[in-house]
Order: sequence, then C-alpha cells, then structure tokens
Amino acid sequence: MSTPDDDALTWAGDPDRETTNITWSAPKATKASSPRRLSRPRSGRIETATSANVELIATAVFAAAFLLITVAWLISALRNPLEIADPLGNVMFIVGLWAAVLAGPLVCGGVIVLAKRLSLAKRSVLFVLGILVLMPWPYLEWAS
Amino acid sequence: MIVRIVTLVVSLLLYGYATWSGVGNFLGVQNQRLQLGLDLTPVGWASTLTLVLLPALLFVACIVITLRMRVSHTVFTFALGFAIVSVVTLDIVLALPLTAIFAT
Repeated sequence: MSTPDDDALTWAGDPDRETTNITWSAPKATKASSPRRLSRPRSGRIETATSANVELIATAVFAAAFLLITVAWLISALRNPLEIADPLGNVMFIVGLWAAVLAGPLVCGGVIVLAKRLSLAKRSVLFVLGILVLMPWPYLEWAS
Repeated sequence: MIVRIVTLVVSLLLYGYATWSGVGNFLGVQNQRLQLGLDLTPVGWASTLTLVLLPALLFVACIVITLRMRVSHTVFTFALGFAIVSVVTLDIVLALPLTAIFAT
C-alpha cells in the first residue's frame, strides 16, 4: 500500500510503482524502541560538548596569557637593553632575546599539542608552570 | 638521523655557550665580590650558580628525554629547552638588581 511519501516520489504510470512493492519513505521508528535508544547518546553528546567548551575556553584564556608574555618579551627584544662589546657575546645575547620571544609560543603550543591526552587539570598545571617560568621580569622592571 | 645529529650539534653549541657564559658571569661576580670586600646573598649565589648549571642540566635532560622521541619532537624539545634557558638567563642578567646579589 502506498503512503503519501511514495506518492510524492513517484509518478503515475511508473512501471516500478505498479509492478514492485518498493517503498521510498524511511521507516518510522516504533514508539517502544525510539525513546530508550535516543536518550543516552543525546545526553552523552551534550556532556561531551560542554566539556569541550570548557577545555576550549580554558585553552583560549591560557593562550591569551602566553600571547601577552610573548608581546612583553618582543618589546624587550626590540628595545635591546644591553650592548655587549664582544661581538660573539652580543650576537648570542640577541639570539637569546629572540629565543625568549619564541618561548611563549613554544610552551603554549607544546602543551596544546603534546599534552592533549592529559586531563584539563594537568594541562592547566603545565600552563601555569609555563607562565610562571616565562614571566617577563625585564619588561616588568622596565615598565614599572 | 642527519637531522638528529645536526640538532644535537647546534644544541651543544648553544647550550655550551650558555654554560660558558654562566661560568664567566660566576667568575666575574666572584671577582667583584672579592674586590669590593662584600659577600653574596643567597639569591646571589643561587642566581650565579643557576646560570652555570641550568643550561648543562637542561641539555642532559633533553638528551635523556628525546632518546626515543620522533625527530620533530626532538628538535622541538631542544628548542624549548634553549628558550627556557634564555628566559631564565635574561631574567637574572637584566632584572635582578645588584643589591639582591651583593650583601651590603
């Protein structure tokens, strides 16, 4: 017996419609089975989405902190606060300044990429440790 | 393999220079201390010794950590270690006042 969906997807005179018993509409779920099957995946999906949002927000906040640290070190590097008479010493000092600029992205990226299997709490500890180690004291002293 | 060797050699030069520079700084501070007849504060001792020990210890730690790592992770770890050495060195050299190093 044809349903309204079948009527919409076929046309009069279609030989398949008349000779075969194909139904084009998707089978409807029975009332007994549908609520149980759908309730669990739905709640799991919501929980996963919430924890993913929390992780994303926490990562964004820490990344912003690392961005500030990087900008502070960049200002220190561009200011070039020390002139060393020894040419090799001067070059190595400048290399060190720019390595300090790269430290922020390296630590932040390292925690995000290499420690992605760790829990959010452990990753947060790593982020905080990184921020404490990379604190730009020369910039803070200069700016204050 | 070649990338790993190049990474090790470049890192040896960078970390080695940082250690050498730390030794020079340590000797310079000791020289100043003797000339001025002053003693070093605990912060002074800790900072001057950190400049010597940190690069060497981090280099050894990087070698141990990266023994079974992929090449890309090895390069990353050595770069990260040198960046941390640079940050700590600059913190001590640029931000630590002389009054925190010498006991007056």
